[in-house]
Amino acid sequence: MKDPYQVLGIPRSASDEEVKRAYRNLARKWHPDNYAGQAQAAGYEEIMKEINEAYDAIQKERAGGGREYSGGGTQSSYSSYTSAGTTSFEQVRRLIAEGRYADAKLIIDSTPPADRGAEWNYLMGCLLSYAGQYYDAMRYIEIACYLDPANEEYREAKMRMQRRGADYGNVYRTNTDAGDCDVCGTCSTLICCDTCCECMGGDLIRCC
Amino acid sequence: MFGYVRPLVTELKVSEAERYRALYCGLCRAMGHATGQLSRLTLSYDFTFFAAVRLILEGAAPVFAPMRCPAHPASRRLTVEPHPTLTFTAALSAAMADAKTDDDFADERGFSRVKPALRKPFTASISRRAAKLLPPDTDAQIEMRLARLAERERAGCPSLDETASLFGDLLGFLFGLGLDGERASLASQIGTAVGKFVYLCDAADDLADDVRRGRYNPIAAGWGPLALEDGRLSPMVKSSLSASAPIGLEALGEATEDLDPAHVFTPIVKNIVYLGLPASLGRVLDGRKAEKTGGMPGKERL
Repeated sequence: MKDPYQVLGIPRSASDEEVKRAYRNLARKWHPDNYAGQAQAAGYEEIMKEINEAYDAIQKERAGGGREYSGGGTQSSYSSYTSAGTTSFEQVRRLIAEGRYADAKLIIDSTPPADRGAEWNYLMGCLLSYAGQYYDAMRYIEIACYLDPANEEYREAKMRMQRRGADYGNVYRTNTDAGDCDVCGTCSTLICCDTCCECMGGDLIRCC
Repeated sequence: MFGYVRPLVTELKVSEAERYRALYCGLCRAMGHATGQLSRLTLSYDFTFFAAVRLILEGAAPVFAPMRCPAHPASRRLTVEPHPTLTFTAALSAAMADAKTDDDFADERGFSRVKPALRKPFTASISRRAAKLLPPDTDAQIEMRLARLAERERAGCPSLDETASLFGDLLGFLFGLGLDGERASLASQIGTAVGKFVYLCDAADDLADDVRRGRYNPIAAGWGPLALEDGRLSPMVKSSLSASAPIGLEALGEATEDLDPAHVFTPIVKNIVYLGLPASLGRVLDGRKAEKTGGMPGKERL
């Protein structure tokens, strides 16, 4: 397999954001829809596959360090994401990564009821929250967690929403407080001044 | 109407609590003048909030004066003096009371229809008086929006966002009514967000009752068998609503940040928006009834 960074045309030092952007640009360029019906479409599909694999590889590599996606015992949805299978959910995730929510929604909506498991609920929740429909979004995410309680990804999404909800109202009257004029603030400011003075050869507070 | 739009009194400054009550009393008085003494029974916290928002947006400087009131004959109470905005609010409140009666009548079956049917002549008469104080097609506009909502409800719409947005539309329309330009859009932004939230609270509040009586409930329609547990809101529904409802309020918080910070009613509106509404949600999710807070006007109908 080729070096995934080479495939995406970015240096190893690229940030997550840059990786995502490079992937998105390439995926848009090489998306099968652009070449529908053309003779060489099969060749383009190879390229698209390569790009997807490269992106997955980088994601997996980076996720290994930061977030615990591929925990051993639990059935992580991430593994299904990287698996070679061509489920429609994988495509939905790609479309979401590319920002093509409307297309992703079409696939989600056309999923037969029998296949609407935890992952379907989760993806539906994600799409609705991008659309600002939080009441319904949270319902789907909650149901996803209910259907697959061990899944880290769904739990993480739920917790993110809960944190965001809990943050609401925190701004009330916070800006009318007297700022950092409390005892702790005053002391630390004095210590800081003293340290600075000492650096320059002087001394503000003799005893320390 | 619903009574969910009220301040968290314990977090108000004493002066703010007093001014809030003065506004409440002022609105009550305005209702007496605009639509008849009996209409004062339909006084609500929701329209007090409406009046506060409109007074801020209009840059009105309300005058506070101690006045006597038949409900509290012993002492004079600080009251907001008559103001066109209060009269307007009173008229809208009456129009909504009538629309609510029609709505209840359409929702109920059999014996439960008696209450709205008995109320109808009264709300119809105050609404007729109110119509003279409102733009000509207000009633029709309200009806049109409620009909749109009722249609989705009859269809058993499983999306709480969808039905709540339709109710939000109605409140957005009411809040923006008679304003223009930027103030109108800010007002309808506030109304829309409050409407969505109120609809959610109401749905959660009525869930057990609606399910028992086989009526439509947007939460039951979406959650199906997961909605209830032992006849009460299931922990899943609670967890879902307690996260998503405040997120839905973020837009409301942003809108209130654009209100004139120097106006006397702005801190009260912010209290309602940031603390009062989440407190109401908490009450509903815990299945508690609103407690009568000491020193606050306690009576509310509709």
